[in-house]
Amino acid sequence: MVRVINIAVILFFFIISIIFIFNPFSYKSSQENGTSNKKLILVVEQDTFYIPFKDGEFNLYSNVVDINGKKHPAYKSIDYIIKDETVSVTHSDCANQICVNTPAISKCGDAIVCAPNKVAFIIDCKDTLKAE
Amino acid sequence: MKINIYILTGLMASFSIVLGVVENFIPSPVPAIRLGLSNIPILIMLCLSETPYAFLTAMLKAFIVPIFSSNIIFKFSLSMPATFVSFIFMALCYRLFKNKLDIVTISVIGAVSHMMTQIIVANFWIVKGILYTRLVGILLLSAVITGILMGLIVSKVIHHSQIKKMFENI
Repeated sequence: MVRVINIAVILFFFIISIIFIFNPFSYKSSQENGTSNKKLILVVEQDTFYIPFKDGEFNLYSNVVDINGKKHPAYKSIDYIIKDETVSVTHSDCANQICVNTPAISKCGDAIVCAPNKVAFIIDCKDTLKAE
Repeated sequence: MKINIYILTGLMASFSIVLGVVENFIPSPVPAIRLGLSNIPILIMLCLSETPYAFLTAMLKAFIVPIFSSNIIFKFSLSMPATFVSFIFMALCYRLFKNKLDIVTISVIGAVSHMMTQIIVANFWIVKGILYTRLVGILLLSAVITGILMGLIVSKVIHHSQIKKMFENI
């Protein structure tokens, strides 16, 4: 009986984490009309907005322009690359370099987080910000 | 020979701090995942000593480990609430369900609550919006796996005759 409770508790946490990995709650939906509906969310401090998801090398050294042309102050020492709908951070001035070591993200709900700089890149497929 | 409980608490706290600092240098396949080695002495104290001394060990570890790592304020703001919450969960589970839950399960509960607290704190105070990303699932899964591993180590250690003897002589 004791053994069953222990297995049940561990299995419960295991299932919860699997649910989060497949993430039905947010940032995810299927492709519509065969075209990609991926959008890139940039979080800087408490400011959250969509940025253009086009190929190129970018940085957050000054203002960042969102998809509507509005400027958002970033002023973070972070470089990132977008290529074929994948995003990767190539440089950050933070000490632990977790964001730089995170593999390139491409799937819905994937995120690169640089917590010391309070910056995150999140791939959204659900128009989460517009829904809010 | 009698051992003063404060000496033992200090010893276990320093053991926890050393493990906490050392595990910063252990490479991880996925960034932000840590083994949770510093939880071993806390769990040992919880099982073999009284709760207040185990709490003291946990708080000393949460307070001192960020000092030895870079970005003190950021690490401290994540470490302190996470250690506090995970200790409360582990202590409650251990004291209330001592006969039903074994140490591996309590270790998993501690690891998951530690990780969840860090994610929630990060979501509200550091980076808004990460709570619903796939990263949360990966971090939780890693917490379950490392919790099992640390729990297995602790269950071996607390049944060791020398360790038992040391705590009986308090």
